Amino acid sequence: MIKLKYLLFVYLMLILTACVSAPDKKENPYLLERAESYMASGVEYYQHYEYLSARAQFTKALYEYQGFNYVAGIARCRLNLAKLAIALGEYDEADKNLKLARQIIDDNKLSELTILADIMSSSMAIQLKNYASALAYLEPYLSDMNAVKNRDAAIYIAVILNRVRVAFGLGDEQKKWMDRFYQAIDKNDPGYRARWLRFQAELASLNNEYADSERWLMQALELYRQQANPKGVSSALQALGAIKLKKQDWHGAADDYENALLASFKIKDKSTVLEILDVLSGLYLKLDKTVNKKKVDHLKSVITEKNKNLWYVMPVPGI
Amino acid sequence: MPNNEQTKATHYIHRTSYGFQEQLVGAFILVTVGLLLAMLFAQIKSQNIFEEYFVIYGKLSSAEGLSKETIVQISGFEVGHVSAIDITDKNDILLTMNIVKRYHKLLRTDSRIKVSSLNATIIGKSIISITAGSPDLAMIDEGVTLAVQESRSVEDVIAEATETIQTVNSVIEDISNVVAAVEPKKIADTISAFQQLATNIKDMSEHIKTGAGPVGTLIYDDKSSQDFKQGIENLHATTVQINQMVESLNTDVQKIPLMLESINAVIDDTDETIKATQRVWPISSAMSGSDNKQLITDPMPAND
Repeated sequence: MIKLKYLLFVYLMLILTACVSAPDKKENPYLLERAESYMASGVEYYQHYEYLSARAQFTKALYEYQGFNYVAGIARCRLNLAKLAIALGEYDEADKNLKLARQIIDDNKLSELTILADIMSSSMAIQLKNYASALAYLEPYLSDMNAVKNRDAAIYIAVILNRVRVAFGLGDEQKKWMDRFYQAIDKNDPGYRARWLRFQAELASLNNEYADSERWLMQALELYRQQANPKGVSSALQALGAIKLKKQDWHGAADDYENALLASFKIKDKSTVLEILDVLSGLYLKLDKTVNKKKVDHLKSVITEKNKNLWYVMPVPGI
Repeated sequence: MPNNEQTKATHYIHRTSYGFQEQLVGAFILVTVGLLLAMLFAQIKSQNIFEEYFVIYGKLSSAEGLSKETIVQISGFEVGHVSAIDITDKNDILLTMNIVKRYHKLLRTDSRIKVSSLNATIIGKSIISITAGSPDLAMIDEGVTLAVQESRSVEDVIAEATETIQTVNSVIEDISNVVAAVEPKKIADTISAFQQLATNIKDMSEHIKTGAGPVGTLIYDDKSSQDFKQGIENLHATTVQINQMVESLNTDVQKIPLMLESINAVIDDTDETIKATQRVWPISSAMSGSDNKQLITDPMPAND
């Protein structure tokens, strides 16, 4: 009869051989490594809201990939550049990159990237208040949510999030899609939690429950502050300012929009800056702050003027 | 072909499906849990927690080194422990010993109980030893009181040592007497003889210095200067040899770059070894996942 200690020895040997044999590291060619290094660096900059640095890295990666016609890399690069352009509010640039990305995706059957392009297209459509178009981009995925969910949880949440935004845009089924969003997210993730609070606040505001709405927005704002998320801070402050506008608290609203302007200026979000400047221009008129109004209008003209790419180096008016 | 080689080099586990890996991990966990339970059971068994005991008593005069934890052994086997220490009406020590019932058959009427006090001094605890009895004799009954044979205590050993020390002292005294019996005059004569010998050696040295005798001639003759010159020439020859050695050393120095190249190759090999080590669990789990470059931004809407 085999003794137990020999069986134990064989068992431990089996465990150890599995433990010590990680797969060999795949060595990529140098040029591919360099391109991917640029891409990874760009993604990191993007995550830290350093959009212009991210763009420089993505552009370098694009040239590298084009150098050896690496279509998967080129498609990803175009998608990253499109996403960046959306973050900066440069929708023409985003649209150009998205079209180029789609062409490569279709030509080379890179179907796994299609959903990312569709989410970006829906985001752009939402920003341009073209909710029907946004819904059309999302529809194929909404009809088979489980497939999306099983593939990638983050993509699934992104699809639902845009669907909630469309619901608010269309003024229909907000609660239903908010519930779906709530079920999808990780409740301990402060980013998702803050977004959920903003949806709650938006719904409350629609029902004229301003106190609740402000309370939830303040909670969301605090979460965004803790995460040092300028985009979230700007969105929460704009929503707070909008409520104060409804309550005709012009001074309070001006404060919130000015702080939101600072946050959006920091990340060079052209589209949002223009939206805030529009609101501030009207507010300064109401508050009889003519000097500030002039500065705001001047800044708007600079931003909208063609070939004025360095608008963000100008001083922020009203602060 | 290279792909086949790579496939062979990779452990089969990395080529299996995720579901199979999950099942495998589950199986390993179950087996591990089973083993742990088995080990726990074996541990409990070794501690005789579920064993039945029978009680015998032992009487002795000193409880030095004994406690409730004291082990009882039969022929070197641990068969039980002391469960109580009491004092009888006659001021004896009464030990209550719990013995595992399945060892009862070892205890026969000729079994003897011993306790070693020296163990208490040396290892801090005593052990009660019972000798296995003859199988021909009857087994002892539960609850009997046996006399415990106590071994020599530390005091006994010290008393014995004291006697030895006294003997050593008397030997030293004898040696002292012998030394006292030595005559100082004889020693003085011996020293005087040594002084005379030293004077003679001094005279010999003076003779040599003046060049007298064969040894003096060897040292103080004119020929010695010629010998000195010869020595200088020898030194010159030695210097030439040293120069040759330095040249040889220069040749060796020129080889250093080649050696450095070899060292670089060794360093490269070491680097590869370290990289391979970094892939070995659990080291790999402690390393940051630099391989997993994120090449695309997260899918969350950028303008939300």
